[in-house]
Order: sequence, then C-alpha cells, then structure tokens
Amino acid sequence: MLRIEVDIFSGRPNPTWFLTDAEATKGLLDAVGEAPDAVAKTGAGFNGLGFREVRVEVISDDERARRRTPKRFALASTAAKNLRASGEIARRLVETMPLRSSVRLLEHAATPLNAQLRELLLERLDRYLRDPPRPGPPPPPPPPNPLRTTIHDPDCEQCQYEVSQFNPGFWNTPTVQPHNNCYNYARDWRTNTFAQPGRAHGAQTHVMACNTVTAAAMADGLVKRCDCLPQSQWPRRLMALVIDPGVDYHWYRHQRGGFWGHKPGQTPARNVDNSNVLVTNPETADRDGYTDFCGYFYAGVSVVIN
Amino acid sequence: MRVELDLFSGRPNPSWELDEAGVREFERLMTRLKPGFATPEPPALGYRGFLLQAVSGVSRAYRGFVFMPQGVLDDPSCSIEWFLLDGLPAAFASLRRRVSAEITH
Repeated sequence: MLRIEVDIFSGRPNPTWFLTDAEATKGLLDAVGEAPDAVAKTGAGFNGLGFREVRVEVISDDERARRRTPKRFALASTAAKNLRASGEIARRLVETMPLRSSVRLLEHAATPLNAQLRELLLERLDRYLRDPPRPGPPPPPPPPNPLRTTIHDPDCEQCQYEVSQFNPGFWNTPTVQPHNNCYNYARDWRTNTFAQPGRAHGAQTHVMACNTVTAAAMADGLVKRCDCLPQSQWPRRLMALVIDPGVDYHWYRHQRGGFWGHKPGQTPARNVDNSNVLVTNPETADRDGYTDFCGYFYAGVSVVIN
Repeated sequence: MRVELDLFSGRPNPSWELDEAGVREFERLMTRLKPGFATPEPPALGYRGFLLQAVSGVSRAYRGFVFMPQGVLDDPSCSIEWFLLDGLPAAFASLRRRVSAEITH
C-alpha cells in the first residue's frame, strides 16, 4: 500500500490518499524503478508557496523491495534530475486520485477528495511543469538557538540532527504532564492529546510490536536513522523506540549533553532510567518490561503527530 | 470514583469507574488501614500502581501503600491493589497476570 500526498497547500492539509490497488501500486513502483532519476528525496526541491511535489511512501512493511526505488520519495520535485519524466509519472498518479475518500483520513475533513480538487491539482501541476520555479539561493542556516545544537550523527555518514537542552520543566506542570506521553516528548510536540503513533494519519496500530508501531510512526513522517534529513527539516530529532511485547511502546529523545530524555506516560519527563541511572544508551538502559529495542528514527519539522 | 491502572507509557492507561457497591467495598477496606511511613517511589517504566480519582483528590495504591493527599496509609496485604485488580475490565484481562506478579513481587 502507498500513501500519496500532494504537497501544495499552506493552510489546509495537503490532499492525501492511500493507493491500495495492487496493480496500480506495481505500475507506479515499476515506472519509478525504470526512471530512477525521476525521484528525489522528499522536501529537497522547491519549498515555496504553491505546488511543490508529490510524495509517495510505502507504508506496508512487507512491500517487496525494488532496486533503485526508495520506500519514500518525491515526484515532480525540482530536485529530481529528470523533472520531465518525474512530472509525467506524477501526473498519471494524480489523474487516478480517488474522487471519494474510501479510507477516511484526518486530512479529509478540511481537504476532501473530489473532482474539483483533482482538476485543481492537475491544473497546478501542469502550470508548474510548464514553468518550474527556479532553484533559489540555498536556505539560510537556522538562526543560532541556545537551546539546540546541530551535530553529526556518528553512526551515519553525512547525516545531521539537532540535540536540545533537557527542559523537563516544560513538561512537568499539572496542566501539561497528564496529557503528553513518551511520543509527545520524544518528538518534542506538546499536543496535549497523549499522541499515538499513526493517529494523525489514520494509521494508528493496536498491535504492540516493533514492526507495527514503526509503521505507524513512519506514517506520521519519521524516517529510519541514516536516511538523512536535509537542513530544511530543521529541527531534526533522533528518537529511539522500544516495545513491551504485546503491551505497550516507549520512546526516547537524544538530548544535548550526551544523554537521552523520556517521559513514561503521564509521569514526569526525566533523563534517568528505572535504576535512576542517566540514560546514555537506550539500548542498555533499565527499561523494565520494554525488552524489545526496535531502532532509531529521525523526526524532522514535517512530522505531524496527534 | 475513577480507577486507573498506571502501567503504560505510550498507550493511555486502562481506566474504569467503580460502581456504588465497589465504592462501598473500597471505603470498607480503607477503614482497616493505618498510617504508614515508608514511601516506595514508583518506577519510570512499568507498574506504578493504581490511581484513584475522587472529589477529594487523586490517591495512588502502590506496593502495599496508599498515598493520599492527606497522608500515607500502610496496606501490608495489598488489599486495595488486589481489590482494584479484581475490577479490571475484561478488555484488559491480558494484563491481569502481569499486574498480579508485580503486586506479589
């Protein structure tokens, strides 16, 4: 199954749908495999107002891997080496956008799928491909922030992310603490909704296992560690996922100072484990029943959780 | 009175309401408890006891103690925790053995 998002709007949620038809999925991924220069990393191209790209993401963990076809990519992006080929594939994809949302996503409340929307998308895509925006100057570096530091990921050549000052006071107040959980803390979004992986994108899971919770979180936009995020995704967090098999999940966030912070459920945010030892490595920290270590992930600015 | 099993980190904790009979039994058990002094600290991850939300505030039953806004009560037989575990809704039956093991630990 593929998740398709046309990155075009600024205020409204982007048009988003799932491509569930096996033949159509195969057709798209085969086309991409035959034209690898038609794809780009998501968010790497034009990022101004108006049409920007069509994002495609494999959201099933058992989708057959294809050579030269990443699990998440952008079409019709100015970052693609072959914009013409990319645009053609994107146009065919948008032409098949469903005119009715069979899988109801949160985005459909404000951006329902219908014929008018499809016409709008095709018109804007055509205009964009006729006269693509010229690449502008490189984005300015992020302003200095005393609470965040950019570091190189020692485990991933060329990847960078941001570590933030440990700030438990932001989380541990009576009106905030009960309503924000480990996922809120690790992603560093205080939504006050006790956020669940995947819920913001209609992809929440109730099966507590590494692969299911990973898939749900990746539906929110998290990527696996070493799938570098560009500077345009600043600030980028490094998160770690562990599972109490069949029971629950838990997340950690890498903080400035070489340790990890976390917030177990409604309890206070902290940087120590169950043995009251500073968490310097979530793989070896005292985690009680959360025995399964699933892996590390980056969360960039475009990750939405709820 | 609302009861919450304080166990999870990511998922919302299981919670349910005690009915009138349950509240009466709870209050009866509480009258048998005496003031305590030790205050075991619940861990970050894992079983952290039961939370009880009443008009008077939030209390916690954990490891043989009941922590109330007005003080701590000693519950050496964990009678409150066993009583509350008995009321765990069927939807969370799979947690019963885990919590039993924690109470008897």
